[in-house]
Amino acid sequence: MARRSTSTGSLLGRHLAAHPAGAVTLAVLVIVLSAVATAAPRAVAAMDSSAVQQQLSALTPAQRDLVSSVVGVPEKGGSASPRLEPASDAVWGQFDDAVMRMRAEYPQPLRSSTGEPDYLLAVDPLDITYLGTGHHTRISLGFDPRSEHHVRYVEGTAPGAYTGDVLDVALDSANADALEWAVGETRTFSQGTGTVTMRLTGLFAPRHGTDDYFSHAPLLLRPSIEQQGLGPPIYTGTALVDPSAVEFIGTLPVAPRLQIWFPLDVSTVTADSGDELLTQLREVERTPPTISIVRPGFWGSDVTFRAPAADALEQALGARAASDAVIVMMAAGPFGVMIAVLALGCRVVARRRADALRLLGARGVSPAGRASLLALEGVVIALPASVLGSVIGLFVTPGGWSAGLIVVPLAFAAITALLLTTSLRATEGTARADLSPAAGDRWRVALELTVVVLAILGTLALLQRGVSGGIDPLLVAVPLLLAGAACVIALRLYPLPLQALANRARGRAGLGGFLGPSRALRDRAIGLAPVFALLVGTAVAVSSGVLLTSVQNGVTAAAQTAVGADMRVSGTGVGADQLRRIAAIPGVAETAAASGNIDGIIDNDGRRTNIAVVWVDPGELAQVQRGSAGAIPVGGLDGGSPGGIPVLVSPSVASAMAGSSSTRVNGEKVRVVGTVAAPNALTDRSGVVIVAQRNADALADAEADPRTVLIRLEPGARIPDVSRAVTAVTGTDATVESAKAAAAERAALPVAAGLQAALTAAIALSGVLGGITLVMTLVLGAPARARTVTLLRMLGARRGEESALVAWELGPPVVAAVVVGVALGIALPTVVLSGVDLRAFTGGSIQPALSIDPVATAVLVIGFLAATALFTAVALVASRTARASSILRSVPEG
Amino acid sequence: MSDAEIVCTDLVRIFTAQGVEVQALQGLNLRVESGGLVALVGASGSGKSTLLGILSGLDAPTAGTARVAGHDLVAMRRRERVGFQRSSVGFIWQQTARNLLPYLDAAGNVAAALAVAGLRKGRDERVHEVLSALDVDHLADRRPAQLSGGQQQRVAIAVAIANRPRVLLADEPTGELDDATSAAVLEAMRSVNERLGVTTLIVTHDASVSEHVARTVQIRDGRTSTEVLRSRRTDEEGREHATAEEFAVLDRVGRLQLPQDFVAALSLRDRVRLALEDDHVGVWPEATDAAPTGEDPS
Repeated sequence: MARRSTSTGSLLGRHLAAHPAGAVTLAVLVIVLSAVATAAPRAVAAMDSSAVQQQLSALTPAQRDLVSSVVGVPEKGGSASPRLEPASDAVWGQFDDAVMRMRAEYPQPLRSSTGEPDYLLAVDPLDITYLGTGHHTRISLGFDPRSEHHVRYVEGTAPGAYTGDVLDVALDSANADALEWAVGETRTFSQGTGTVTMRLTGLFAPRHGTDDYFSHAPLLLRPSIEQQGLGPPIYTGTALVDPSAVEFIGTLPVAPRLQIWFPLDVSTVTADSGDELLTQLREVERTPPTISIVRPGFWGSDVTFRAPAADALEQALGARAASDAVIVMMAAGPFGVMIAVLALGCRVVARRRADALRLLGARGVSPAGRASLLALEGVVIALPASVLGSVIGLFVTPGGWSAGLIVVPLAFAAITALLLTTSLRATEGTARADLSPAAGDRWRVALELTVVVLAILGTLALLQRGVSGGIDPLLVAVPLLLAGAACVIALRLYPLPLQALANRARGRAGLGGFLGPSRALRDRAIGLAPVFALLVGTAVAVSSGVLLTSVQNGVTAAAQTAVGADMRVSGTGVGADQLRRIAAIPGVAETAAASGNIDGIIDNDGRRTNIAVVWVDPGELAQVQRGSAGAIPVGGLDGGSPGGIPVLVSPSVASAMAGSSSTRVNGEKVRVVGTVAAPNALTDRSGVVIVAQRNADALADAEADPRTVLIRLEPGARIPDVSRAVTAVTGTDATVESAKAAAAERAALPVAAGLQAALTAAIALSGVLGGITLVMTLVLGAPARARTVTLLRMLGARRGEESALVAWELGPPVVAAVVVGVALGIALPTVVLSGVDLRAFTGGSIQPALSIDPVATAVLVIGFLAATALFTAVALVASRTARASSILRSVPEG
Repeated sequence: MSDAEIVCTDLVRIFTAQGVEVQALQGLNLRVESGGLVALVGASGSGKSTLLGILSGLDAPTAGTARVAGHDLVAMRRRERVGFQRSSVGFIWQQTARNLLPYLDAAGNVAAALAVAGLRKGRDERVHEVLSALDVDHLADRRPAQLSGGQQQRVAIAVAIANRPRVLLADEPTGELDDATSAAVLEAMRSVNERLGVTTLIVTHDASVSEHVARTVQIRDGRTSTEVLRSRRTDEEGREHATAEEFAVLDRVGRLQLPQDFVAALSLRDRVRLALEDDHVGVWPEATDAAPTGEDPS
């Protein structure tokens, strides 16, 4: 056999390769933890981004894109680097350059979030009359040198160059149909004092299926139809003309309007870049670009851009800050547990090295040298493991790669090395745990006092000052500090009942009853780390459960508030007959109609405010909304009208009425009997006055059909069936919503769904980490336990008594950790979450109340305990294979 | 005397745990001359392992002085201790786990000791040299688990002497071995002692060790009590005679322990009579009539 190398490197390699079981355990742990640490922030960022994107996507392109609308025409001039056709370029080139340059000069991320700019010069619609039929129509002329990017000609050709007599135009087929204008036909229109002759050269259609271009110029695709009296409808549409014929505008008596817009690509907006993008959008609004415009006459203004998306973005980012605060706070617990578990894993590895390190120490390896050996081992184990874990974390979550991601594996390698190094002390000496020197005790007391004092101070500070938006360090620290303090209390208190038990058991027969409590007291198998992990795990599980229940109830309440009852029909007038038919639909228990939602005016001593007036039948409404969240308090509406008509007002109306003794609505004196949140199920306006049906005549034309019908369903009614039946009565113009569907929709919003996923993951992670903690504690305690058990077996103890011993070893601290953990889990949300804005998750306007579901909490705790018991049993069975002889001989003698 | 490699004077070691004091060493005195081979024999709990812990620099005495290979173990700081453990002393313990790294083969274990001491050049040669010296060179690529108990202890000796220590300390090196193997291991230690001149202290409860060493010191209740010196003499006719003489140890202030069998044989209790003669001191039970010659004790 070839002799192996005796080089230091080879020896080191063989040292590190020995006892792979501990290293593999630690590596697996590091892989899991670093995968979670990498994936969790990315998953949260992805959730935030998709929430922001969803909010922006809800806007139309016109509400979203960077837009400018100015009266004037571009200054004529060619481009330095033409990209338009020569004829167009002579007119538009210089302008096109300026617009392109503007985007090129945008800072990132704005530049990549905006698409290629588009522009359209369209004159205000001309009132013209076709001399052939005498039909009156309104037509706008659109000039766009880049129109071929958006339209294709389905019939005929693009408009030819303007030669001075006939203006070639192109329309889409809807406009052409409306005007009954055939391709090739030349028409002369009277216009003002003169005439204008146009020839339809072609029909166009959108080049792409969906093109946001047409959101900015909707009249290109579809005429707007205005019905005035009994005459024929008046169509307004936009025609495309030769873009280089801009000078033709000079002959028209209407203003040219130049629209420029940069499409905002919602998919590129992320939560991370959102804040910067918002600042840049605001900056674009403030800074006029250098684009030269020729203004007709002296009116008009310089080109300025508006970014209507900025407000929506700001709102979305605000909601993200609220959700991040909650998630970061909830993540603090599992993170603390992770470190505790990692510390235990390091202890397992260090324990396996103890013999070798003692020997090396005796042979003259200095403590620093031994610590370096452990640190090296930590890096060797943790670096590849954490890189692998991070890569897994990267793969399972969306998002790109960034240099910052390197931090996770490096941090894990460093933490592991550090934790292993600090485990060195645990490897030295074979002192019994109950013979610890007094100095260690003093340190322990000092540390415990520090944690408790910090927890108290942090909690007081948090309660006093409240929660600030975004990621609040105090909000992250306080739960951990409270957990630490609870841990201290648990560790200090559980020996007390145990001592009492041990004292009582002393006089009795039975091994387990006496030896169990005594061993649990004197030779603690479970230290700080496992108790901390179990306690925080339970607390996280319980408080996640509380938060989850609260958010779910909040979502339901918000949906009920928005819909107003089990179901709501809105969007169209519902006649008395239709109402009767709805009430007769199987499954419908009761209905209540709300009418009006018409304009009204509050007159507060001369100050006038526009509001909406809604009237209801208070009795019906109260019946339908019975037990529903956000029910409208109709109680006082039925009263008589001495001192004014009783009304409910929204807060904004209440403030408009403030300071006046005689407020009038539509000229009638009113008496406010209560306030009601608005917008609500009956109106989408924030300024609203609700009156009883019988008082409505005085305020408005009360004959109008109800526009909102609230429905209370029979228990067990099938919502889709009822919904279909209602639609059959009202027609498809009506919107039929159910509170259940609305709640499901809200729960599916990225923020709400993300929180639910995060909380579920937190519960699962706490359970798994708690289990791992127990297994590792059992592994660490296995040699000592095996010795005791073997010794007892040789003394004639029965197997049951051994199990009792193990139960005594684990039971008291586990029970203490779980009991204190449940208490902490219930206390934590009330202390910490009361100040956090949960509305971001519910989609409602009212902060949901914290609700504790005792059944769900009990199920969680029992599940946690069951998982713990299972892990314990598995670990015990696995460690029972030790042989008695080897165990007894391994006792160090001295 | 400056050439003593191990000097312990009035060594005291007290362990304290939760208010209970255990005095493991109670003023122990011991001298081992350079190149000597001494066995320290004592029953379980006599304090011999405590003494070895102190001598190897792993433990510190409560009082008294201890010098090993020129190092003052009481005043020694961490850095000096590291150097002391690397090159001044070698150890052999009873348990293989404490002598050899289980995951390294014999050569690797020797090389690890050399690596710890910082020897880079000629490491392989030195490994071969010490393994050959203990006749285990052919086992160089076996791990401890693949060696017999005797072979393990030989490798342990090889590891202990790898860095050319001045002092070799062995704690029950034959504790787990049968008699024949024990004898072989002890012979190996004696041969190392003779060939390399390394001062060797063997601590054991096994009285048979004394047959292999020239000097055996008894330790009792944390003190050295008696010594047995063995010598070989060849008479005029060329026959070898092994002689063994037993001595009691006298400490600096004149205390000595009488051997247990002396005490038992004469039922000595509480008080004894003493008498100083020209060349010896006599000891009598208190209630005896065999009055010492000379003066009347009454």
